[in-house]
Amino acid sequence: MVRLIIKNNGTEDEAKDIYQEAIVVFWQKARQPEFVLTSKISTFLYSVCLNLWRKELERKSRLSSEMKDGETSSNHDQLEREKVIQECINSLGETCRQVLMYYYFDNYSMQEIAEKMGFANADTAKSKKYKCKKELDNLIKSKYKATDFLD
Amino acid sequence: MDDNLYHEYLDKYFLNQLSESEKIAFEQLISRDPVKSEEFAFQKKVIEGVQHFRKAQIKQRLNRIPEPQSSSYQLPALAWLSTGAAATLLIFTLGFALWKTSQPKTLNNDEKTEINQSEIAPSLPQISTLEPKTTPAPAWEKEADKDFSPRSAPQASQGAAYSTKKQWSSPNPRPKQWSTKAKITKN
Repeated sequence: MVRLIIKNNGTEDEAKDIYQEAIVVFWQKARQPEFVLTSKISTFLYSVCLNLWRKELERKSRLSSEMKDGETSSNHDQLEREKVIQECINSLGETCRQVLMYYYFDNYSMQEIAEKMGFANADTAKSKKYKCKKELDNLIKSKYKATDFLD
Repeated sequence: MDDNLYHEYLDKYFLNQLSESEKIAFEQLISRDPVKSEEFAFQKKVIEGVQHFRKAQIKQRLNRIPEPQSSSYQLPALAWLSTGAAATLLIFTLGFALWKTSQPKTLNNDEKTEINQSEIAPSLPQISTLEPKTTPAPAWEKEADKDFSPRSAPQASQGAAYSTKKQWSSPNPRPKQWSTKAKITKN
């Protein structure tokens, strides 16, 4: 896998990063009840790596063409916004952060979140998630207007 | 659509939990309302941000897993060494076996005595015929020749050995061919 990426204009670090991404994708897929693994895990990971690297190459070529066209400032703004969002998530309390990640990344149901976080029931988890999301939105909106996120 | 329901639909949209028809209807609703469009773009970034944050966390955890210390590179070296040693041993064994089989079989003393001497006996008179005709056989040798018969093989072999030895120490002159050869080598 590393050889493949290095052969296709990549570095060893990029290969490691792609491999980790593939593991994350596998983790997310494996969480879905309808997911059926029809090949070996290694084959699955290899094909995910291939797709991810293809996307990364497309992103790189798009970036380089945008740089030629002088669109670097918009990319810079986008990166800056992403950085601010990360800081806002980090400034949330541990419980809020965990609830949002369980919901938006791990696709846990409210019942599962309640069990994991020790909440009374699914409704409590739902209410907690709503409050945490509002808190995050407000934190970000205090730094940016919603219109800043329009492409 | 109230705010709560709208946010619920937003979550379901980004988590791929809407059916195709629900998805199309929701997209149409957003495209008709500029405020909702702004909110959609904002929520998209926020949810992607949460997902990236979690990804980064998992990657950090993966990075903390120690990598095996180049064991994958040491193993081939050991494998090569052992394969080389085995190949060398095999080549030496095969070489020795081939060398052994190509050598003419030498008989030990016991095997020599076991050979049927009657097989040697008929050939002995022929040896005597190889003697140059110019050389008259000595009287004692003629006597020994008389004993060379298949019936008296053991004595014949002894007689043959004796006769050849005696021939070298024979007082009779050597054949002409031998003397000329000696001359050539001297020159």
